[in-house]
Amino acid sequence: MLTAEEKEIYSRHLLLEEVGLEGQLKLKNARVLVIGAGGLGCPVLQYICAAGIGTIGIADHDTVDKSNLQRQILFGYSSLGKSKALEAKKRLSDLNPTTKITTYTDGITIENALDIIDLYDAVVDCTDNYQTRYLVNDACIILNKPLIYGAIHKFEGQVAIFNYKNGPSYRCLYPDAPKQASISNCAESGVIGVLPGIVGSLQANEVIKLFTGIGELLSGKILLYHGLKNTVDTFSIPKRKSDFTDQLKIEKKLHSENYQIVCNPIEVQLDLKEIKQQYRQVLDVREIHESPEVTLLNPIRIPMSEIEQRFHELDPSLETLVLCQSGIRSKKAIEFLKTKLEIKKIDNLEGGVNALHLTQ
Amino acid sequence: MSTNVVYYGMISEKLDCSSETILLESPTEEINLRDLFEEKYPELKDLSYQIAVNQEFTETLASGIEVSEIALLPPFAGG
Repeated sequence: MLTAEEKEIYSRHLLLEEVGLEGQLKLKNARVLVIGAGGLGCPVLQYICAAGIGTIGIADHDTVDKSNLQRQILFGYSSLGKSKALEAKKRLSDLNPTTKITTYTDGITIENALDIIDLYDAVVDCTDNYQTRYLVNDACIILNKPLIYGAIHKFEGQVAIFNYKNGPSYRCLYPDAPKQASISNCAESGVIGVLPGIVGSLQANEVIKLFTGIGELLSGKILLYHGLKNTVDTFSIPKRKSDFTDQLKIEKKLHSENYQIVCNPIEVQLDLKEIKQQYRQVLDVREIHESPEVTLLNPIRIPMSEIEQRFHELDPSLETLVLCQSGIRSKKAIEFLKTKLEIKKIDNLEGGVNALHLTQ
Repeated sequence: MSTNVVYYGMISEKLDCSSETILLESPTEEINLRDLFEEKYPELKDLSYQIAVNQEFTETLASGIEVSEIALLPPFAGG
């Protein structure tokens, strides 16, 4: 039953014939785990909590950074440096004190994924990296839980429901994670702040439809939103036969090797010794706080944000290698430097420090 | 036949093109679309993506299919 207080909170839902008291009770009894309390996680949490999902889990290991505030709307200056999961809980507890909220500040890992996900009826994927996306997808396959997926890139978003009533999973769409250096996340390629608000709201809408049983779900389909073109397109996803997922269902176990190797950028042929021989100048364009440092290469550190002012610190007569974390910013830096300097030889470290790290 | 091709996400950036019209010879036999696009744009070989014809995922184009749109969809990581 709903209390008098709850009837007041959800009065606009109760007026909807499609939701009503019955639908609202279904939401109250639902247990939803939101993985990632970032750009997508914030609007998802805000709307499912406000809508009356009775039990919510928030998994995120990260802390709030100033660069998050442009899109992660549950946080403010008072949250800086604090746990995203705990800060989100603080805001949501005020938004809806009737919601039971549990936080997982270690985030979702291979070790804890199955135990945590098992406690919930559905999972919302709001993560920002392929490793966790595949891990969460596979855990949902093993435990037979529906997964409400959302992902963003610059001005574009994807939304889908995977693994619902034996429907297709993320691996039916993309069987394996990309291997190449061209993959990037918001920290690498940037994102328009309102985009996760739109995509996360679409995910929250699917959560509410899933539990109330109304409308058509994005199961077996993926929705693509393009913020610059204002287009919304829906594609059908076929269910793909896969030995890998069959094996998951039998073994009911996650193996770490499936989630570590997946996103390694392309194999870089260079090792440190070769780099030293080939390049007399190494430029690191990562911001100063980024690690690991590659002190062995004795790089000149000019962060991307300062390159326009400081490019003249480079010696154009030297063979130069430019590096960053994954090889994307360094590529942009090279494009810029070529317009400013006549450099004898300038190359990009494909795959960046991530790839370099592997060969050491 | 001329066919509209839409490129999403990182692919549109890599090719510097978000959509174009290509001339597709009416196939007499099945066409491998991945081969077709990677021959046209070799940089696609380094990328991960799915191909959809008329909003259904597929790798091939059978003869006699009326194509209204082809889309190339890479995965997105961001959240």
